[in-house]
Parts: sequence; structure tokens; C-alpha cells
Amino acid sequence: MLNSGSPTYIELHCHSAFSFLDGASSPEEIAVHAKALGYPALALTDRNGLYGSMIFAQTASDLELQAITGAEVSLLDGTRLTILVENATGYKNLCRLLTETHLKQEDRHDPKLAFSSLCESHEGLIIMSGDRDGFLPTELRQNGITAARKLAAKCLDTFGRDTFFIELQRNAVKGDLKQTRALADIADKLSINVVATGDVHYHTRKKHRLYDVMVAIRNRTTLDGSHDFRKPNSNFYLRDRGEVEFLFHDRPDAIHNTVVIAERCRSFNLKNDLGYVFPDFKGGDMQSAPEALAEMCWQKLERLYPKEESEHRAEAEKRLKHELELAEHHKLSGFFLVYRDLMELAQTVADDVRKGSRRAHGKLLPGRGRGSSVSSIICFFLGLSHIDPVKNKLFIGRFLNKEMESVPDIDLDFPREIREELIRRVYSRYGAEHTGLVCTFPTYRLRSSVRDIGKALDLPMGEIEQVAKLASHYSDADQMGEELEKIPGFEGRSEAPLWKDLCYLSEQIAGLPRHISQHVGGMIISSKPLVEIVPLELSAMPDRVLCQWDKDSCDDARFIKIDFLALGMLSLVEECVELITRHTGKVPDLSRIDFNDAKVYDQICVGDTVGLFQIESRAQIQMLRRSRPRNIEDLAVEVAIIRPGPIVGGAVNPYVRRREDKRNAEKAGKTYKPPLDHPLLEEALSETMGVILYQDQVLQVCQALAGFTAGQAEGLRRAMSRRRSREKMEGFWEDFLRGATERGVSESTAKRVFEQVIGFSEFGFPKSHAVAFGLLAYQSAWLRYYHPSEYYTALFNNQPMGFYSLDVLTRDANRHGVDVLLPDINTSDVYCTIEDDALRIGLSFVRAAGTDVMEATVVEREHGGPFKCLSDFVRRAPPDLSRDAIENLVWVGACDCFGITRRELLWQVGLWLPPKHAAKTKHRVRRQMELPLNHPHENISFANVKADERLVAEYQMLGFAASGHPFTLLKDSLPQNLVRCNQLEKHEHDEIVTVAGLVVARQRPHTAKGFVFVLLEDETGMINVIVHPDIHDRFRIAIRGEPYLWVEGRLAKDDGALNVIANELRPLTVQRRVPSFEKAGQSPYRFLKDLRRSPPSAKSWG
Amino acid sequence: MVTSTRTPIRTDRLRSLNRPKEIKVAECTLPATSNQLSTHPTHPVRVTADGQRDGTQREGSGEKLAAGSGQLAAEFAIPKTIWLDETLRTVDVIRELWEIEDEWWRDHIARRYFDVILDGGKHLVIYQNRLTGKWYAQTA
Repeated sequence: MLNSGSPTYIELHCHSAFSFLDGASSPEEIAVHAKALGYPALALTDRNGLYGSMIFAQTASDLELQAITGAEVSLLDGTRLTILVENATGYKNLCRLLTETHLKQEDRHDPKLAFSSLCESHEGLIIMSGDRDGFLPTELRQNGITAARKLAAKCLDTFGRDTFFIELQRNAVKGDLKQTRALADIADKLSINVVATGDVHYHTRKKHRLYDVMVAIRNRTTLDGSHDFRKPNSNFYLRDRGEVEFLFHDRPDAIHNTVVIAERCRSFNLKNDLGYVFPDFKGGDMQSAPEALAEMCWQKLERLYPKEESEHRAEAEKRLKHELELAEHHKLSGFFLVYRDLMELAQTVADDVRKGSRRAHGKLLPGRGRGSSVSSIICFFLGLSHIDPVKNKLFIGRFLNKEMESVPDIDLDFPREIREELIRRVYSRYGAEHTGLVCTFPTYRLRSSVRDIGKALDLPMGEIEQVAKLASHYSDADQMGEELEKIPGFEGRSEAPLWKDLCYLSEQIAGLPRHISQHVGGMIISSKPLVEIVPLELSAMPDRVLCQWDKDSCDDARFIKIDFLALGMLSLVEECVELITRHTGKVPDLSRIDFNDAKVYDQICVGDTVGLFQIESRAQIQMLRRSRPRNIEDLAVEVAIIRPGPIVGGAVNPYVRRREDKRNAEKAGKTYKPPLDHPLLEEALSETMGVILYQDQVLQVCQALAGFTAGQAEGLRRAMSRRRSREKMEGFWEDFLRGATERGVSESTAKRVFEQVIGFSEFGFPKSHAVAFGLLAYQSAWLRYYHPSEYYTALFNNQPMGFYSLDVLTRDANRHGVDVLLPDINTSDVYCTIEDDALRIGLSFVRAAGTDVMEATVVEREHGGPFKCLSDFVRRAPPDLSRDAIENLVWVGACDCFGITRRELLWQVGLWLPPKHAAKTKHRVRRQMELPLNHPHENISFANVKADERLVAEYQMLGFAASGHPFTLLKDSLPQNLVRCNQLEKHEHDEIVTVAGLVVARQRPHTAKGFVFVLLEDETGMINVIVHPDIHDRFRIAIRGEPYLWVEGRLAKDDGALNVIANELRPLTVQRRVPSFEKAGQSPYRFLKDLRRSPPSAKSWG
Repeated sequence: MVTSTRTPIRTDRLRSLNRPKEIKVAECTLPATSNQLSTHPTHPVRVTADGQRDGTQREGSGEKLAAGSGQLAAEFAIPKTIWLDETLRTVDVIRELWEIEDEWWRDHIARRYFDVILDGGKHLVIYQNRLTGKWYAQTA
């Protein structure tokens, strides 16, 4: 019955941006707008997924709007149906159907469901006939009204009158009138209910332009090329309810049925009705979880803190009691025990992975804890952490407290290969239906939006790339206009045709999800089939299944997320231990090395840390020279200090100064007491020189200075780990001030301390995490100091990793006495190996020479003996080895062992193999029959390639130069008065100097207020160049795009740290004629030009 | 002279046959019962001779949409009588109506089309340019 008073229509067909380029509004925008329009309920029906349903349900709940869960499902014939959830059974069925839609298709990008599956599992669902391309309208359009009537009758029979509805849509599309008349006619004749829907794709009409662009992006074409795919008008917005009722005034039953359906769907609430249960632990049938956990932990306590032997026994006992109480209070005992089961599984996996290798005896852990869980003594006892929390004085409140509302996170790091296998084993232990990886949704930022929208608008590709490259990487898409104004050559473009649209549309697209991707390590395990709680789909990586919710939605659903993270450094350590064992015959036990080795710390203190874990970056190196760590605790500080939290909180400089004061005081035989903002902070901050460095200290400070209760501290803890944490943390100011005033703290002191607290809304580490990483940092330093060739070999083989490119690492290896040898077809392995304390580059490092094909090549060499000459190599190498790969191998000297010049080798390649353009398949085909004869033109002699050509070839074929820095060849042609990096020490502070070098890294940290840091390397070392924001804007093109830079600036010397503060930056130029080059018939100008064409990869951030 | 079969068709001449001709709409109503669109109640809306209606225009025209019936009128009003060749003609039947909004990145098009039959049986497509408010007719 139509209510003649207030409108009654409810929208039941609505897409959000989680339909991935088929919806232009976020679920939050839709919910807020629906509320503003007076809708009491709304259904979100994204395409083939429930990606945004939890966000929508949460937002709608806050707005007191009924969120109806549903989806638009694609069928095998390309048509679609709209499905809504009526009750919990229906939700379970929808999740299963959506999972089938994704998992049963070969192409993961084209999910489709068999209609028969829907027929089998439609209980608790409401099925609607779909939009214009829906199931019934398509039949009507293609096969006429009789066929459509037959199909409708079939649906009626299968689903029943209460379940199946025919959708009527009136968006003023040509043909709508005729189509809705025909559909209504079919419905009336068969007594099927009709329902009005709006096919909403954006919440307000003004977003239709963005939707048009999204359609073009989805179809990988321009707006001009997407006429056939775009909606014809802008009527696909969330309409005013009165408007819709007016449109359907001739079918009041279609409006009324929206209310009927919404009422029926009221019994299911996504927020509360999921029924997720974490699996029970092994042995749950014999003993209760708290008993089992307590027994296990007390036994371990006896072993690790023996009575009368351990100085920490009493503290450990107290701590364990407290944690066990908390675990029981929050019913987490089973949770801890399941983690223990998982760690046992990881141990089995590690044993299997390492079986047969020498490192199997190296007492290596299967993995290590990270994050706040490392502070828990229960985790320590269960093997989930390797750090003693009592000895290291780790604060438990960040991980576990009485008031906590959500389940704590336990993050575990594993070497890559163990993690891969562990994920597979978890699937098989808990069942594929019970397990899924957490997903993430990459969102539109400035670079992605300029590329996607720019292409849709058909802007020149070169200009799009220029903007993408030159714009600040930290800028959001909604800052496109401002960024354009700053890019040389693009000033004023933000008002030009099409560019203006780019700015407008970028603003609208900012933050919207583009596609689904895999979270770094989160995994969900459920005792009830996960496939009935959230739909699953295939990941881009084989054998991986993702659930359709991201970290925050999983948290809202109160799922327990298990984080299995792959840590490259652990893989490196594994390989390094293996190489050391092979090389020396002894297995190093990294848990028993000397953790106070002065030689290792000496190297760290001078900033010689390239390639080490966590302490290798440009900023870390400078910090190390000033703070000079001498133990693991100091290293934990190093790991934690160069993070946005301490930087924004203003902790860095005071910490460094006070450490220096402490050193000086100790030298003078005095005791040093760091200054504190207030005496109440002594216990919380004295170990970090009176500043906040760790996340846990935020809670400790708030409790000590402002008397925060555990509940308030828990609120703060949650605020720190969520999106928009700054706003959330700022909300605590009044409580903080009130509490501080009650304790006699002045407002100015409270404000100063609170500023440091707010700093942690940026990112910071808990101490437990820093200690765990500090330990690994030391172990990496120890390995590099005592076993450099093994360390660098493992480092090369485990790329990509860390701050530096292989080009820099090569020269760093040289500085540590490790020669890096070019690949050799008769001695190199697939990966890098050690050869008489030198590092031999692996064959698979050569471009176009893939791992599989090089493996086959090495196998052939091992079976048939070394390759005797090029023709022998060409004859015996696997057919998949392309001519390109062979030529690349020749260029980098891998065939020098055949005793002829590289040009002669290249000539011979041409004799034995047909030209690339004549190749009909990707396989290599020989030009002639396999005859044991030499080619008549085989022995023509050519001069060898010159040094500069060799270096360019290395950059082109390997991506890095093993033969040395380009400046060693260019040194006579470089500009006058250039100061080499190793000579800067001799110059005065504030002196104007000119430096030049290869750009190793560019950083524009968002905490640095627009300052840019460029790390340059010449043949003698590296120097950090600081670029002021206005200098950056003047020389932006050179800074962001030029691989070789010339810099003039002021030398800044500060307590061992050297920086050049740039006044001017230019692309490096060299003299055109230099006698030393001319003698060899070469040109430095030409050499630099060639180098620029194949620059080594520099790492850029921001 | 016989025109070669290879001579390209002069599409410009063909187009001129169906070139939209500006017209005036005398009166609009909300969709009525009987001979028009469907079973909507009649709700006359005055449209001035230059095609402007109750102060309600779409995005891009610079004017805000009015609330209530004015907004409905702007969105859904249909022509009732039009001036065609200086004669006032009544729209007997609206066979179909549809909207186009496109090409906003080049020359923005926003039109509301009506496929109508006038008194006397003349079949016509008329449309309103929603950016200018002007009405046009072209043969169906």
C-alpha cells in the first residue's frame, strides 16, 4: 500500500566504489546521503562481492540506517541478477555463491556463477531480475516476450513467489518505457511481484562524470572510445524518495514491495550475525584452555627462570600470573594455544624446508615474533617470541590489558620460503573452507589517478608520465591542482581544458578503491567454515585465496587475524648460515654469538651499515654516527628513532644531544640524569633520555602524568592503530589536561608532553618490536663483519630488499674486500655463489635469462661438462634460451672464458642463430643442421669492447656495474673544483662546495616539511644532499628525474655527520674532449649519454 | 551526366533533412493519464515561449534546483502543446522519452527527448536542451 503521506520507497539496488570501477561513491558517502534523503534502509549490492558491506553496515549502524546486505551477481551467460540477504541462512548461501562465482572460474578477473547453483542454494535470499543487462531484461531483448515469460515462469517455479521479484527501473534510458511495460506485463500475467529499483552507481548526480571516466578505465579505453559502455545519462544517482515514487506512480505495488523486502531483511544484521568462532586448540577435549596454558607456561618458567639461579625469577612469576589472569579474563587462553599449534606447525615446515641442507643444524628458529606481542611472557614461553620480556623490561599494556575490546595481534616473521609453505600447510590443516588471507584495497592516489584519468581523458601520454613522475608521491589525488602548479611547464594547466577535468575528477576519485590485493601477511582461520562468513576469491598469486574484507573490516567483524609476514632478512640469514656452513664446515649458532662485540659496534658507530637490517638508511647512518650505539638496547633505540612518531614528536634531536651529554659526563666520571618535562615521567622516560621513543611509552606517560585509567589507555592504544589516528588521539586532550592538572602539572607542561603523545599518531614502534628488530640488526652486522663474502652473496640472492640498489651494494662489497665477479657461463651458478672469497654473479641476474632456463643450462653443463666454445654453448643450451639472452651473456662477459673478444663472440652468435626478426617461435632455432663443422666465417677477428662500453653493457644487461663506478672512467672529464665525497671531511663547516655523483636514493619524507634528501655516490663514497623546498621547486626536474647530478651547496658538519645543503642542482655535464678518452677513440660526452639511457635503479620515496 | 557510383554520399545534405529545428513549447504537464505517457496525475507546468520553465535547471546551468513540485516539474514535465510552423499543436501521445547526458569533456550535451504523435497524426521527435532550456524538433 502506498503511503499517501511521507515517501516509502527504499533503494534496493545500489553500487558503491567496491564494485571496482562500476561505482563512484564510497559506502560511507552513500550511507550518509541516504540518511540525509530520509531513507530508513538501503541495500548495498556491489558486483560479485561484499567488499564494502562491512564498512557500509558499520556506517549505517552509526546513522541508525538499516543496512541490507546484497550483491549483484554475474551469471555464466553474461547477464546479472540482484540478490539480497533475508536472514542468516541467506547470508551463508550468498557467501558460498559469491565464492563459487570467483573460485570456479579459470580467469579470476571474470567471475561468473552458474544459474543452477543459485537454484540449489537460494534459501534465505531474495532474488531480483537485475538491471537492463539483467537476466530477464536480456532475455526479453534478445528472444522476445514469450521466451522472457517462459524464463520468468521458470524462476517463479524455482524460487517461489515470495523470493523472486521482477525489477523495474526508470532512469530515462531509451527503451525503458517499453521494457518496463513488457516486464510489468509478464509479472502481472504470472502474478510475480514487481519491485522498483534505481540501479544507483553514484550517490549524487554530480559524480556521473567520474563514473563515466571509471567506465573508460575499466574498459581500458578513453572516454571517446567508451561510448558503447557508458550509461547514456546521469540518472543513476540515489534519488529523492518522492521522486522515485512519482516515477513509479502507475505501479505503487513496485514501491510498496521495496518496503516489504526491507522489512523481511531486517532480521539479518551483518554487524552481529556472523557467528565467527576461532578454532579450538589441539587437546581441547582433554583439558580446559586456561589449565593447559597455565601448565605449559609454569613448566617453561621453571626451565627459563630457575629458582635461586635467575635474578628475574620473582618478576617473571609476577608477570606470568598477571598475564594468565588477563588471558582468562578475556577468554584468550585458547587463542594463545592455537598460536602455539601454529608455531609447532611452522617448526615442522622449517624442518622440511631445511632438510638436507647444512643449516638444518644451525638452531635457527622457524620464525620470530614482532610487534607488541614480543612483550608478553606467555608468547615468550610458547615460542612466539624470542626476546625475554622481563630482562628487557618490556611493557605489557600495549599488547594486553584489562579493558581491551579487541583481540590482540600476534605478528610472526618467517623466511620467505618457510612462510610460503606454512600458508599451504595451514590451508591443509584447517581446511580450504576455513582459511583465507586478508585482502587490501589499493586506493587512488595522485600518481594512479593522473595515469588512469589522464588516459581516459586522452591527455598526451608523455605529459601524463611527466606529471606522475615529477609530482610529490605523498600528495593525495585531491591535491592535483596544487601539484600541477608546482611542476615546471605545467603552471596554469589546472585551468586548461581537460586538465581542469583531470583536477576535478582526481579530487573525486581520491581514496576510492581501485582493485583487490593481498595484505602483507594477514590470515583468517575460522572454526565455522569461513566461506559462510565472508566470500573468498583467488589471489593473483597461485594457490592463494583471499577473503573479501580488508584488515579493518576483519577487525569490525571481530575476526582473529594471524599475521604471517615474510621477512627478507630472515631468508638472508638462513642462506648466509648455509653458505658459512658450506664454506667453513662449522654451523654458526646466532643465538650464542657475542652480543657485545666491540668490533661490530665500532663498524656500526662509524655508519658503515649499508646492507644491514633496519639501520642502513641515509638517515639511520647519520644517526648512528651521532648516537653511537654500544649494545642491543641502544640498537633497539636506533631501530625505533627514525620513524615518523618520534620525528614528529620532536624526540630525535633531544635524544641525540642528551646521549652526547651522557657520554661526556661519564668521561668526566660524573653521573648523568636526563632532564624530564616533569618528575612524574621519570619511570616511563628515564631509559630513553626523557623523550618518547616507543608506542608503549605513550600509554605509560598518559597513565603517569594524567592518571589515565586502563580504559582510557586502551582507547588511546586503539586510536594509534586505526585510520585517522591523529584526530582520534587529539580527542583525548581534555581528559589529559584534566588528569594532569589534578596531579599538579601546569598546562604548558601538559601541552608540551601531549604534543609528543600526538606525534605517535604518525607511526612508531613498540619497544618490544624495536628490541626484536634490534637483535636481528646486530646479527646481520655480526654476519657481515665476520663472513662478508657469504653475507653479500646472500644479500644479492635475496633482493629486492632494503634501502640500496645492487649497484651500491656491489661497491660496498668491494669496500669490504669482497670482489664481485661478472657471470661466467662455465663457473657461475643460477644464483650468486662464493668463489675464493669473491662473489660470482649468478647467470639468472642477466636480463632475458630467466631462472628456469638458466637452471637447465647449468644442469646441461654439469652433465655434459663445461662449454668448449660458443658454438658448443649454442648447440647444447636449452632451446628456451633466446638469442637475446645469449647476446646479453656475451655483453657482460659470461662467455669471455671461450678466449675470444666479445665482438667476435657476438659475430659468432649471428653466424649460428637467425636474426631476431626471423624467429617464428620464442624458442631458439639454429640456422643450420647440427654439423660438427666450424663455420667458414667463424674466425674473423674483431677488437674487444672498450672499458666504457663494458660498463654501459653491465648497466644495460645486469642493471648494475660490477666493474666499478662510472666516475672512475669519467674522472678527467668531470667539472673543475669538484670535491670527492672522501675529501669533504677536510673542508670547513659552512664552506661552499661542489659535489657530483650518481643518485642512489631520493627521499621526501612527509614528516620533513617539504625537504628532500638526495643521496649521491661518487667513486669514493656517498654524500647526503639536503634540498630546501624552494630549491626543490626550482630544480624539480633534475632532482626527480636525473640519474647523475651536479650540486653546489654549503657543507654542514654536525658531530660526525656530513651534509651538503644544496643551493643549485643540475644534470651532470662533462667535457666533450679529454685526451685520455680521445686516445682510445672514445668520448666522455657519449659515455655519459649512454649511461643516462640505462641508469641504475635509484630508490625514490615521496 | 550520370553520377558515378563511387561518388561518396553527401551526408551533409542528408543531415540537413533532419536538422533539428527550434520550436516553442506552449504548455507542459506532468505525465497525464489517457492519451499520454502513463497513469500519472495531470499537473500543468507553465513553460514560457522561450522554453524556460519554473526556474529549474540542471547541473552546469548555474541555477539551483528548486524543491518540491518544482523539482518534479523540472525533472518529469512533458510537453502538452507546442508551436510548430506557427501553428499550436497538441501532443496526443508520447511514445517514448529518454535522456542523454554526454560529451561533457568536449561539448556538453544534456537533452531530454520525446518521441511524440501530434494531433492529426504527425510523428515527431522533440527534445529540450537542458543546458539552454530551448526546444527542438526533428523528424522521427
